[in-house]
Amino acid sequence: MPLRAQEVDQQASIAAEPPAEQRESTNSSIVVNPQQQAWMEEQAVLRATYRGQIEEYRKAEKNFFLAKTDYQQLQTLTALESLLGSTKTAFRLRGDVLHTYFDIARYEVLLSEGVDEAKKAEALQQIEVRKSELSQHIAQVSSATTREEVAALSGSFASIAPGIRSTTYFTLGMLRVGKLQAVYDKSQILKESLVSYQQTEPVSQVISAQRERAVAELDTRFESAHAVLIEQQTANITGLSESNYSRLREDLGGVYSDLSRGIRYLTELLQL
Amino acid sequence: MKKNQSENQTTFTNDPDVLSVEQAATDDGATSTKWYKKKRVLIGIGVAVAALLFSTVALTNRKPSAPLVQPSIEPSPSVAAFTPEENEYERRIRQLQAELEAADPADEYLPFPAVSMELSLE
Repeated sequence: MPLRAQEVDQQASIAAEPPAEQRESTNSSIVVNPQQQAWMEEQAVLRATYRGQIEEYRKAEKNFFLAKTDYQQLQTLTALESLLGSTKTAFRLRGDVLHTYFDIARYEVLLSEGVDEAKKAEALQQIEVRKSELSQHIAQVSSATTREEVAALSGSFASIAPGIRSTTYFTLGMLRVGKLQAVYDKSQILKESLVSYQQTEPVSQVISAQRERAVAELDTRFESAHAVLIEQQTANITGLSESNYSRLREDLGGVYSDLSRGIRYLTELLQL
Repeated sequence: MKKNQSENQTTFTNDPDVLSVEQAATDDGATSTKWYKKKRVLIGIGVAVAALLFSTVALTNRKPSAPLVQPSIEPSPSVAAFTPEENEYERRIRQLQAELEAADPADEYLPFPAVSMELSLE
């Protein structure tokens, strides 16, 4: 099936999107160590490579479908040769795109905050396995010469495709949970610090009571967010389907709302 | 008198040259000059009243214009009263909000590559 316009737009967003920490550093004074800086630079190069590869793939996929139609209509040896060539090109470029995608995801995992270390290690290991499988597949594509060999490549790729999807959604889910976990952790630290600071101020009993109520509301929001995050962090999963990933995003939407409200309450608490 | 009036009404609508001919036929020169003066005064009063009415209406319907100098934006009392520590807390809260927005699960984040996983030669 040819690519849908929406999917193509999404791919552009991968290439354009800077890593999370880079985005954050534009708004804050987050200190990035030299190792992280190097990873960020390598990831930026990979994003540019990915952009080029996805463009090449789109053309190759188009050519593949044209060649396939030609062969089905003409049934000539020339058309068959053209189909074999365009199939090999499309297979190779698809492998390249996926390989680079996993490279980008690997750096995203390395740069991530708030992610459970065991899950991080699991994701990195899975990514290496998928990259190895893809490298093997790309090598097989290059060495395939006959029609039967090229046809067999579809089957061999079909056997690694579920793992590619599962690792991708597992990694993305973990990263999304980690991002919100990092915000939750920082919110807690900030709240504790602010409460301690305000306790040193001499205020009336009315203000003091208002502050206590505000902190109680804050705690309710943060606890609600934390409960979902803990559930996700401790879930014993090593893979995720696309539908489960969609459900996870919905669940995290609630966490996002709780954290958002909690941070707004922090602003109000500061003004009391 | 009635006759004079009807004649005068006629002269209002006619050409001045024609008027002078008719006038020569009916009135003497003094009456004519008097009438001209009266006419000029009436026209002058009319124009003055119209101008006065126009300017009154224009001034009444005029929209209030913006002041030349905009009032300066005063900080809210709570912000103005912030200590350096509180300003730092405010900065950290804003930073946290920005980090939260970057973590919005509704946003697209590393979407799966738009490649066909089912390409097949057959």
